[in-house]
Amino acid sequence: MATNNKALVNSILKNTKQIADFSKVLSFGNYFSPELARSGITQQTERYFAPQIDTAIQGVRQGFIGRGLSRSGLRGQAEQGTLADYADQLQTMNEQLYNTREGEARTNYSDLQKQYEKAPTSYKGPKGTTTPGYQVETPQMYQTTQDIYGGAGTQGTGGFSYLQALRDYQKKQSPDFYKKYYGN
Amino acid sequence: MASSDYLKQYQKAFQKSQSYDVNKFSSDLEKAYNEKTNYNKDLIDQQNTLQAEAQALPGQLRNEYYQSAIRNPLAQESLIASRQGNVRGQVGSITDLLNARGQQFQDILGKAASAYQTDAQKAQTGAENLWRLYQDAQAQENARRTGGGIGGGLKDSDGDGIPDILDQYPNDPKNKSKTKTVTSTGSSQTSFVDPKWFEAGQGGAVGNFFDKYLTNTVGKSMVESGLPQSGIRFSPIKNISSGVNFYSNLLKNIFKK
Repeated sequence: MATNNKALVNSILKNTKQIADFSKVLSFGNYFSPELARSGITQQTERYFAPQIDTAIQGVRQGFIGRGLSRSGLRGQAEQGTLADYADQLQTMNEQLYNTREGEARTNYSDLQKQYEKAPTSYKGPKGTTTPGYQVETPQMYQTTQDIYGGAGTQGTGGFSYLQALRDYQKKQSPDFYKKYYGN
Repeated sequence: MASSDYLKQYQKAFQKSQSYDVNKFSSDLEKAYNEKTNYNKDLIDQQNTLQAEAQALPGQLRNEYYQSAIRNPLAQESLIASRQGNVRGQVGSITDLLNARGQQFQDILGKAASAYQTDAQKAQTGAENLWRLYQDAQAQENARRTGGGIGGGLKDSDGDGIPDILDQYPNDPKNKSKTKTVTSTGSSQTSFVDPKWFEAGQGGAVGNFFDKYLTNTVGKSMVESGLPQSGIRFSPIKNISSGVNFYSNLLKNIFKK
C-alpha cells in the first residue's frame, strides 16, 4: 500500500465501527419462545374445541343409547372417530396459529434488527441474552400465564368432560406432536 | 531558485504523483474495511443458519405431521409452506441488511475514491507546475549564459530591465549627459553623442535604428511599408527627436511586456 493510500484508508477506518452482532444483543430464541407460544395456542384451541367435542361425543353416545347400544364396541369406535376428527382439526389449527405467530415474531425481530442496524448505539428495543418467564408451560398453568404471542386468562379445561379424552387421544396417537404442545 | 533545485523538486513531486493508484486504493480500502467489519460475519452466519433451517424444515415437518392427527396431506403441505415462508422471509431480511451494509461501504468508497482522485490530481498539477518553473528557470539561465538578460537576447548591461539600445535614448536620465544640442538649419535639435546613428538625417535615423538593431522585425517592416492589411500608416516623422521618441516608447512597451 502506498503511503498516501495508507493514510487515507486509516482515516476512514478510524471512523468505521464494527456493528456488534445483533444475535448477541437479542437472540431470536430469546425474543420468541416456541414453547410459550405453543402453550398459549393450545389454550386458545382447546377453549374453542372443548364445547364442540363435548357436544359431539354426547351426541354420539345418545345416538347409541337411543338404539340400545350403550355398551357396544361400535360406540367406542364412533367416539374414537370423533376424537380423531377433532384432534385433526385442533392440531391443524394449532400449527396454523403457530405459523402465524412465528411469522409475526420473525418479521418483528427482523424489524428490530433493521432498527438496530441503522443506529446500533441508539437502539432502544428489547435486549438481553435471557428473557425471564420463558419456560415450558404446562396446560395447568395456562390460566395464569401471559405472552404477547399467546392467549391469557382463558377458562382452562374446567367444565368440559371430554377435553381430557381428546388430550389422551393425542398423547397416544401422536406423542411427539403432543409433547410439542403440552410439554410432557 | 536555481533550475537544478526546481528539477529536484519536480522529480520528487513526479514520483509522488505517480504513486497514486485509484484501483489499488479501492481494493486496499475494501480489504481493510472488511477486516475491520469482520467481513459481515454476524449477518452471514445468521443467514446461513436460517437457510439451513429453511431447507431442513420440510423434511422435519413431514415426519412430524405423518405421526400427527393432521391427516389431510394438503393441509400438511400448506402448513409446511407457511412455516418455511416465515424462515425465508427472515433470510430475505438479512439479505437486505447485507445489501445495506454493502451500499454503505460503496458510499464510503465513492467518497474516499473521489477525495483520493482529487489528491492525485493536485499532486499531478503540482508536478506539472514545478516542471514549468524548472523550464522557465532553465531558459533564464540559458539566456544569461548567452549574454542577454532581457528577452530576445538584447543586452542589458546596467541591469535596469531596459536594453542597452534604449538606454541611449535622451529621456533616460542616465544618458542625459550624453546628449548635446546641435544647431542645424536655424533650429535647435537634441542630438546624441553616441551612437552616431542618431545623428543621421531626419529620414534615415529611424531606418538606421531598425536596420542596426532590429533587422527583419515587424517594427522595421512597419516603418518601411506601414501595415498594409490594417491600413495603419505611421505619420511622417518631423524630426529625429519625435521619431526616436515614438519608436523608443513603442519598443519600451514591447520589451516591458
